[in-house]
Amino acid sequence: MNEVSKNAVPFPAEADSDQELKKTNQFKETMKRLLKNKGAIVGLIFIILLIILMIFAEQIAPYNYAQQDYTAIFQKPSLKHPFGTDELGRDVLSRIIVGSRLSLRMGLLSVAIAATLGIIFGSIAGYYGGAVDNALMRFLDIYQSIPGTIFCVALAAVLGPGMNNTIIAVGVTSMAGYARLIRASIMQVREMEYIEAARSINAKDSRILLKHIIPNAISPLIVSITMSIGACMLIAASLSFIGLGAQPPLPEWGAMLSAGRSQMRERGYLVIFPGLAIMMSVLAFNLLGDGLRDALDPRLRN
Amino acid sequence: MLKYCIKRLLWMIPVVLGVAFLTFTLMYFVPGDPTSGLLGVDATEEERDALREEMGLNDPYIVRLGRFFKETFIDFNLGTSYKTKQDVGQQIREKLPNTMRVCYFSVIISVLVGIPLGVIAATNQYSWKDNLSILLSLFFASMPGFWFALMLVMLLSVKWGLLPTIYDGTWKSFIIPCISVGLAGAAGIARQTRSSMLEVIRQDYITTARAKGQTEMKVIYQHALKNALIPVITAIGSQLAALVGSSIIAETIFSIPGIGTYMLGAVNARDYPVVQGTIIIIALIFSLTIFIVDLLYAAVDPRLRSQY
Repeated sequence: MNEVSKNAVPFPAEADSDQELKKTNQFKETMKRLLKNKGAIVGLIFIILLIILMIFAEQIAPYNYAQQDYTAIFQKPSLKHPFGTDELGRDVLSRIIVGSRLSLRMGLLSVAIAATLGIIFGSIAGYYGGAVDNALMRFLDIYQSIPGTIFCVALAAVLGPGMNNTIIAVGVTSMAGYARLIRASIMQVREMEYIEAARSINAKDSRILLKHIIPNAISPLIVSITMSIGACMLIAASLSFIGLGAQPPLPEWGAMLSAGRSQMRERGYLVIFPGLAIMMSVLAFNLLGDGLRDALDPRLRN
Repeated sequence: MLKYCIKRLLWMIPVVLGVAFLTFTLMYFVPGDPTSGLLGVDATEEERDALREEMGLNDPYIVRLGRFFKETFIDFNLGTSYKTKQDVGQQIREKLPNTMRVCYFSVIISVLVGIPLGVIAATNQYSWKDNLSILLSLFFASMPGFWFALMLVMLLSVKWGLLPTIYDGTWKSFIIPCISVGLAGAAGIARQTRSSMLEVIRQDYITTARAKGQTEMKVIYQHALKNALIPVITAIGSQLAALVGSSIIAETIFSIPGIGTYMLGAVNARDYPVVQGTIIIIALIFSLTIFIVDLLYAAVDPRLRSQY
């Protein structure tokens, strides 16, 4: 008895390690291809720097972002204030550094909302098919016939100004793309044998969806998420710029641009730097997304 | 082909009804009261309630929805604005041309910049020209449009005094908004052009065209580009959606009296007829544009035409 169990143990373990090996190989291969792409590396490094900046914002920023100094208002960029100071004498560089938290949070959370809603809608439509699918897809047709940004601006205006409302508005209005994407990949996976096997052992629908279908349909989603973080950051910043998103005195980049706009004639640096910050971060996510797409594209393998 | 057109046009009816329903329901459920803007802060609750009753705002949801649908789709009347008491349809007709100008000129700029950029990249694959145009289009895609507009204002209007900083009714005041909106759209078109040109350039008929001694210009622009255009048209179609949105932001920046500024002001004042009217009209125009884009496929690809 004892011997049998001893003998029985290695098999599953071996199978496990085999699987592990395969998994890491696939991951490694993708990473290898990703790291060959110079643009993706630049994007990745910038994003890592941005995350470090976000975490240690207070420690890195040379001044307190909210500290007002009436003896130093509207100073041009200098060694003391590399990006100048604004109308209350606040250091623009410090505000941009601390603002990275707000801008990234808006981008990431709105994508998270969009992806979650999209996965729910898309997987229900793709898995059940038939009338459910038809109804949901027709709903999405109608939903998408209102141009996304307009819908988003209207929803944000309806919910009222504020960061959380903006995140909700951006998230809700950009979910349709994810829903279609997930639906399409689920329809591909649905007919696979392992799904039939899961069904034959009487697994619940929710279990099949969450444990078997979604993990196998998720790789196009990862690319799409990375690509749209940048786009969502842009929309969120535009909303803040037209006065709907983050409100002054919050150092969100779009809101800073909006505040600096009235001073633009004499003090261009007030609008140049926050805009550059937005552009660089969006560019970083776009570069990484591009690289990921190429790395995961089976047609481009070798 | 005619059957397909009719089918597509008929499908627009449920879409527009759905959009109307969605907008109405959204405006119904969000907090906010149009009477507070009309009567001011000093008004008593009784006065407000009387006005609500008069405007029919106290009726149940289903009654208001029915009335809205009857007015809009049977009488073809978008109603009058609560705030200005002007006819919404009339106002939209006045403001629509400005929005359309921004949108369509921006699309033209996107196409004029995007397609050549993509062609240059594809015909010089892996050279510095390719890298440069990929980089440029990435920059265009990552640039906040409103920020680029501000930079252009700083340079062209403030420093050189060439163009007006804000809408003044002349065509000159459309240049900066259209460039800033259009360049953002050029990025997607350039990438799509590049990848579909790369596929087409390797085809046999391109080799044949070269073999018969055709000039390179003609090979690229007549033989290759024509065949590469179909996916590019899809890209233009999907850019349109984004462009409509960004032109609304451009409108607010430059205070162009278009549909976007009209709608945004109305949402804040809870001016329901204006919000509903503008969104329905935008959705209608948008669906029509997508329909025309789909018809364009058939125009450039005879194979598709024979399918219908």
